[in-house]
Amino acid sequence: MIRYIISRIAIAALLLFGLVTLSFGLVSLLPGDPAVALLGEYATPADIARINSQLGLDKPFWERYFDYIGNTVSGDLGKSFFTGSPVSSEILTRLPNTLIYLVPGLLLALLIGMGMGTWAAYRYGRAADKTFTAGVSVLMAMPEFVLALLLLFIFYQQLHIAPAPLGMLSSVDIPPPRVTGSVALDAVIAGKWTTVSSILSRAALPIVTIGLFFAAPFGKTVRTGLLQVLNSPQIEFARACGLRPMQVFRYALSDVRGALMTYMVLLFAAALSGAAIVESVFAWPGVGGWSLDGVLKGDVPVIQGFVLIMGATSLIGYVLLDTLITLLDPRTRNTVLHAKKWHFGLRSPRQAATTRA
Amino acid sequence: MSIQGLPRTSPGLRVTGWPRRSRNFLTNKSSTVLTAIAVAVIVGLPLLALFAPLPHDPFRPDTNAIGIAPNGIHWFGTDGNGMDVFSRTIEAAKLDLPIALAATALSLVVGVPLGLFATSGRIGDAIMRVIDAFAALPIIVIAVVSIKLMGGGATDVILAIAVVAAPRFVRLSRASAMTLRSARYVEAAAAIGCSPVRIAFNHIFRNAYGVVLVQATLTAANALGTIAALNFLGVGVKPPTPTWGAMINDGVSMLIRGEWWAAAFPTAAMLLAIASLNVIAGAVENKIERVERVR
Repeated sequence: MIRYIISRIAIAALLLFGLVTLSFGLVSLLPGDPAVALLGEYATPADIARINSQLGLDKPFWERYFDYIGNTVSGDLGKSFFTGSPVSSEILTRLPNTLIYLVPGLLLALLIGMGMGTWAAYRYGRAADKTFTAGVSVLMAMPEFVLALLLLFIFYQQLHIAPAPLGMLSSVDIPPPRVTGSVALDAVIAGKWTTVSSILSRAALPIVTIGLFFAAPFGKTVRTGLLQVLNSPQIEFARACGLRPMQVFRYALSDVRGALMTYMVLLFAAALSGAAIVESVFAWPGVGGWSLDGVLKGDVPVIQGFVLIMGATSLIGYVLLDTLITLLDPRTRNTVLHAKKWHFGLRSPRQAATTRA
Repeated sequence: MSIQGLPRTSPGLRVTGWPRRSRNFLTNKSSTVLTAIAVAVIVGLPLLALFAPLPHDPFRPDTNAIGIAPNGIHWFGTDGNGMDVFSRTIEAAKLDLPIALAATALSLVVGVPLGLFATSGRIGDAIMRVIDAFAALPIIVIAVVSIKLMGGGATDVILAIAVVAAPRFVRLSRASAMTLRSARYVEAAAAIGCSPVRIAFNHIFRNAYGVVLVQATLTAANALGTIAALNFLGVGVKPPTPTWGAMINDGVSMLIRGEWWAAAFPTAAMLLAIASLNVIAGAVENKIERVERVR
């Protein structure tokens, strides 16, 4: 058990190392010259050389790679080429802004997906199920930004309920004194409840966008998973024993729990990487819009930092998930620990004969 | 996969309703018609853009007709630059749909062989680890980074989408290969001395292509959305050329003012194309199910 968890962490550490290499390679090996991007197309060669030596880009490839790894390990993700602000502190102040709508949005998706998916599974083949399936296919065909714009059009333009998509604070809100760097947290600490409620009302549409967008695939997974379990012999037995419906549902749920948790982590990673879209529609000052800006300008440290943080976040998520699933589900424990090594590749006739014998 | 043997009655929550023959909520005949329409949309839209005469020049702004509502002359109205929304929406199909299909084809060509051969050995393991690392990376960001750094033409968009989509095909074809290679006929093929390449394509892939085909159609639908999202963010094909995503982006400021048409019509065209591809995927899935049931 502990050995398994340690092995997962070791694999994650290796993957993290690969991620650092990838984020370095992705930006360094592809064509495109940061110095030219920085100075514009009419820069003199002398200026370009000066900028290159300032940014350390004139060093040989391997030296840059080892420098990058060394700095990353010590927590220094470099400075933005354009604004000069350290990437790590930018991420620290912006990540809370993203999480403030992302996490409630995903919780909303969980709630809707769980509820609707369960309902559809219990009503298999009937009107409710068909409505659910049709609704899911409509929602799944809709890209995130279309959904966001649709909500914006209905709730801001037509019904005038939602505030304008102009960011987290309105111009009349006074930003709270800086404590943690995250505006929302600072507002809570300073006790400025008008600011907090202003932020919340502005976060409402992003939350609903995320909630609806991810409710569809999640609900579909819930329905498929539950349908399989509800038809299984053990649930039939549980029913035959006369257990209360809620009890039966709990047993059924414990069977699909692992798969659903895996899916939720996948959705979290997807939501985080798609944050740029929601944030560009709502002009939200989060990590997604910032990284998109960096990408569009060719700001190498910003891109590398973002790729690294997103990748690391999802990797940590996967490790936590694997651990949690092993703790919750005794079946995985045994098979994982004493797994047989499967080594049947495309076998040569002789190999096939020996294994057969 | 069909769901069989639902208990008819139960003491607690009742799970009622017998499984239907067709999982589709539409009857067979109307679903055929629907599929035909879907295919017509996917094939017809680019052809229309290529050959049909457009009522207005999709590239020339008309300064006398900025932001006018749909009427007899401008069927879908005009956008903030005075360009005809109808002409641009059709013109965009010429680029958006072929890019999505080409990207899917490319990821198929790269992903499937990788998956078929990544089933064992060190190299196979290495391939899967690389795929895992890719899965941990933010998709949109990778696409944006690579398009941006490569320059931003149509081919770069195709490459970027293919890179993002290929891992899915690797996983899928690998999973099929893992289950199928212990089949008797694969063993028999190996016994009579077929080469691994022949086994992989002629024996394994032939029995797994259905799933891959369904996934390919879904991937194309997904790619359309991703391409639109990229263009919406301002990455990809350069501005004067119309794409659905870029048109929607242009239309947002008008949408906020209540002038819905500049954003709504390209959105509708894109959703129509995505829905058509999804319908085709469903049809292919049903077809395969029926074939497998006969077997």
